[in-house]
Amino acid sequence: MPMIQGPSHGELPLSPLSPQAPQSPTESGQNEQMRTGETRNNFGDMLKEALQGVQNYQDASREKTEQLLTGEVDNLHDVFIASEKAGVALQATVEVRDKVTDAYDRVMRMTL
Amino acid sequence: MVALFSSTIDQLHNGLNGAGLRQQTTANNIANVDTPNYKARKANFEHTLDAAKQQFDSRRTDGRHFDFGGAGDRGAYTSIDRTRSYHHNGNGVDMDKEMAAMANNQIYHSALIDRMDGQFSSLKTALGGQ
Repeated sequence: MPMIQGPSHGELPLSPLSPQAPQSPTESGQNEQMRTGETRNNFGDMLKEALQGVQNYQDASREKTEQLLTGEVDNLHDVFIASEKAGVALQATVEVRDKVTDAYDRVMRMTL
Repeated sequence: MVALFSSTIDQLHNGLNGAGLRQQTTANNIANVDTPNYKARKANFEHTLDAAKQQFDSRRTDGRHFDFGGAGDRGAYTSIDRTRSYHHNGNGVDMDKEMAAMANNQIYHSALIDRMDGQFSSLKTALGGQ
């Protein structure tokens, strides 16, 4: 079963701070653009994978519940472990969603 | 319209209806343990839960062919077992069996209730904003 891919500190595709100033404005602009696109792509992939992980937990839980209904399940604890996992994964997702919207709100409120 | 409630909730609902029917049937059997010539009833509802089989259409090229989902049309029902007789007065209730059925049904019912609770709390979690 796939784990939820959390943001591990070693793999975040943030570019390191460079001490020297960029040589020419055009080059730095190009570089910036490429880097932003790359970051967005990686972050989007990470988010997609994490959501797919949550979806897998939900699917497993639904399958176990159907087995419980039709009496096919031989261990009751399997059903509840699967459903608890799905519940916790969903809760974690909602927490992340709330944090992200909160961050967006903070940025929008920022006075420039 | 987007389905707010998943099919699992409907299936759990059917399962709980069935558990209720089985409870009633078992209670009826226990109440009639001394009734002469009473035969034990049995609740059948598991076939109503198999949604996957009901969606499976058979391709019939002749009117005499059978439909796979034919049994699915029938709702929950009780059947009478006429073959057994546990008492001299023709009564067919096995008290031990009824008690075991009741205990089994109780576990089944509370498991279903718990899952139903989980389904609804998942929905509420997903809906709740900050």
